[in-house]
Amino acid sequence: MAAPLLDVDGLSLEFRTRSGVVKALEDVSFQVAKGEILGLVGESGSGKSVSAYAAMGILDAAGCVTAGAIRYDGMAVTGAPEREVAKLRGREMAMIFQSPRTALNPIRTVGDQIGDVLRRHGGATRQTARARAVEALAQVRIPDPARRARAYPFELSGGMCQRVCIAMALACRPKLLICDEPTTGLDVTTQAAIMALIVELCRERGMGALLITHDLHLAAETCDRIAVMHAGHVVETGAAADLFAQPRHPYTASLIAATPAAGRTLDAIGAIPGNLPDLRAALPPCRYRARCPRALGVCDADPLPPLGSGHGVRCHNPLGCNPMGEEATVDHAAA
Amino acid sequence: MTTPLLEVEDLSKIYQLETRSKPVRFLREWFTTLPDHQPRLHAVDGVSFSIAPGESLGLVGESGCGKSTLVTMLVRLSTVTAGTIRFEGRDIGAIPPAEFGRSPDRAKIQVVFQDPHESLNPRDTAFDTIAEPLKRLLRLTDAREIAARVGEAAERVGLPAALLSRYPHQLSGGQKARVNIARAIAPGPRLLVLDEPTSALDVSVQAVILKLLDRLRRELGMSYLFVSHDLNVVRLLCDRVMVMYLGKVAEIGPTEAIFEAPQHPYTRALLSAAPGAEPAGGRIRLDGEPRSPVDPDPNVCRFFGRCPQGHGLCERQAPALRGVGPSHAAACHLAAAAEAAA
Ligand SMILES: Nc1ncnc2c1ncn2[C@@H]1O[C@H](COP(=O)(O)OP(=O)(O)OP(=O)(O)O)[C@@H](O)[C@H]1O
Ligand SMILES: Nc1ncnc2c1ncn2[C@@H]1O[C@H](COP(=O)(O)OP(=O)(O)OP(=O)(O)O)[C@@H](O)[C@H]1O
Ligand SMILES: [Mg+2]
Ligand SMILES: [Mg+2]
Repeated sequence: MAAPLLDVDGLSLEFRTRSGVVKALEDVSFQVAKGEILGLVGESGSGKSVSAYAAMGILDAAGCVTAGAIRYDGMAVTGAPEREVAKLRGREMAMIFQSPRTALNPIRTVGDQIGDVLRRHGGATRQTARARAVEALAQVRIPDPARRARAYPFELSGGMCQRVCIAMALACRPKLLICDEPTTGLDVTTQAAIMALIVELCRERGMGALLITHDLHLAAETCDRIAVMHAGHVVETGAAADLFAQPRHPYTASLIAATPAAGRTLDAIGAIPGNLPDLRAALPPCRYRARCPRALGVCDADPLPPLGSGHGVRCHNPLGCNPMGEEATVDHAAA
Repeated sequence: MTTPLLEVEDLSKIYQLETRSKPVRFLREWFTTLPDHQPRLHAVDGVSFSIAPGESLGLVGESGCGKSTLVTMLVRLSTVTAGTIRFEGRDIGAIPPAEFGRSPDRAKIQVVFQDPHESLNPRDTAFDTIAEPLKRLLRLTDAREIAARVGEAAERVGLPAALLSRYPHQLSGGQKARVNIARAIAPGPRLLVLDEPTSALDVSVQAVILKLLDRLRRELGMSYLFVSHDLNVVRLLCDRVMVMYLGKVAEIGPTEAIFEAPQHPYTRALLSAAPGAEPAGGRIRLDGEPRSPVDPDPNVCRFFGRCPQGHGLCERQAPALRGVGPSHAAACHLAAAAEAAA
């Protein structure tokens, strides 16, 4: 197999804060190949954004990589001089951030802002930047793009600002696109159009994409593979179809059970018991231990099994196999 | 029928787009005799609906169709271009936003904004946040009474009393969402407007908050206007649904009717595009250019050009909202024709 575009390999990362060391990521591994979309799902605070920031080399100054490496197209991002990483950003990798309104400059029109990016990274000239910015806005389905290019961010709706950010990220034809919740503020028809655009870029230009999302239905539909994160661990990875049809980690199963779906009543959606553990405290080897309905004695003592390839899971007692003679399924409605 | 809690009639919000700078306008007026046309953006265009006491109305629609604009007018944070807003029979639409803060109705309409992370003041504890509307709107001054009301609101939303002294950065996403909801229900509103209250939350927290909202409505008898992009969530929580498209109401009706027998082609496309849905006739893709909200042609249907069923009439006459079933209306020539034939 060719070297993956993005290779996060055994990454551990801490934040040194006044109230203690936050062990935000521990032994996190995932890969994004050319033309592939990897979904990163998990609860709020599980480390999805931090992983993305680390890959882009834009971590907070308090963040500190303690083990592992990130490679982009074979080149080490962790430990590389800032100048080298800065060259990659914009040209090779682009990111869509979680809060779009704050990512835009409030006192410049959106057309000018896209034009700026195109001139800096996309080889556009002063003359062509305008027309290409309008084209980019049309691509993300903003009505009347020529006129709306002259609008300031406050004149646009939340979802339109989000689409402006997406247009900006795609304008430079990046090889790797990292999207942090790209479509949360969008209606489903617009979301479908944007996701179709991203999928098309992956298939046609071989762009790789890392899609961070809370929406499991969306992840199931657009991603080739999924990595599930919990409290700074990747607990399960696999092909999207397998993972949703047959989740193996109890956490994945309860995430699926908590998702509203057609034909599910309020009583039928089960909330996940407990909260994420405090990442500043001493943590057991399995960080899901305290919330897990399938925990065993070994969970307290032994380190987590490695993820493995294919449909991998870091659990001593995964669903669907039965080493300890327990029940093979967990009733999450009851949990 | 009981009198509605909220009655909105022909409400419009039009933004003047200032495309020329002042000196340019001055020169144009000086040198030409032609009237200078200022483009007008029709963000909300002649919207009418009502909400009964205790009822929950869902509002869905394409990004940029005017949902937030409508919400800010209803809660009197922005001016109304035309139309009326009646709350408990009183016309509140004419009150300027700056004066509405002193109106006794202010406490009865509360909003929960989209992002629980951004809508909390980082320097206020959870207690201060929940107490703020009690002091400002209800003019409560007795510290003991305020503490009691804050405690009661916190208990209703399931926020442990120990967390009341915390600042936003010390709270999780779900806890922040609870603080936001507690702040909104503390003054005892009759109408709670929720603008995408759960989209920033992950599924596990979302499930808890949805159950909470459902319980609060039953316990307190409030009405909801619930703006959301998540159709599954709207279906769980709302009695009726209003679908907007480019500033206008496309369809409005009982939740089951909208989901089971949508009449407007935009509603059908929307329902078929939901991730996880498996529509019988396959996904409906909306190709074609969306129409501009700037100076729209009043004689053309707003959906024309993207509508898979659009035909000649749609380009000559904009469809009005008409009944297509019990308390179910749609603004489509074809939907009306289907009803007549049936
Ligand atoms: N600058 C920082 N200093 C200290 N801790 C941090 C910092 N940034 C993130 N963290 C912590 O790292 C953990 C992971 O955060 P992250 O933002 O990656 O979560 P997430 O999975 O993206 O959540 P969400 O879905 O809410 O965006 C959290 O516990 C968070 O508190
Ligand atoms: N201050 C303003 N000046 C000019 N146009 C504006 C202004 N505020 C909003 N608009 C326009 O009004 C229309 C409706 O915007 P609104 O924010 O109500 O949409 P929305 O339905 O809430 O969309 P979203 O789902 O993306 O939040 C948009 O076309 C927007 O560009
Ligand atoms: Mg994040
Ligand atoms: Mg909005």
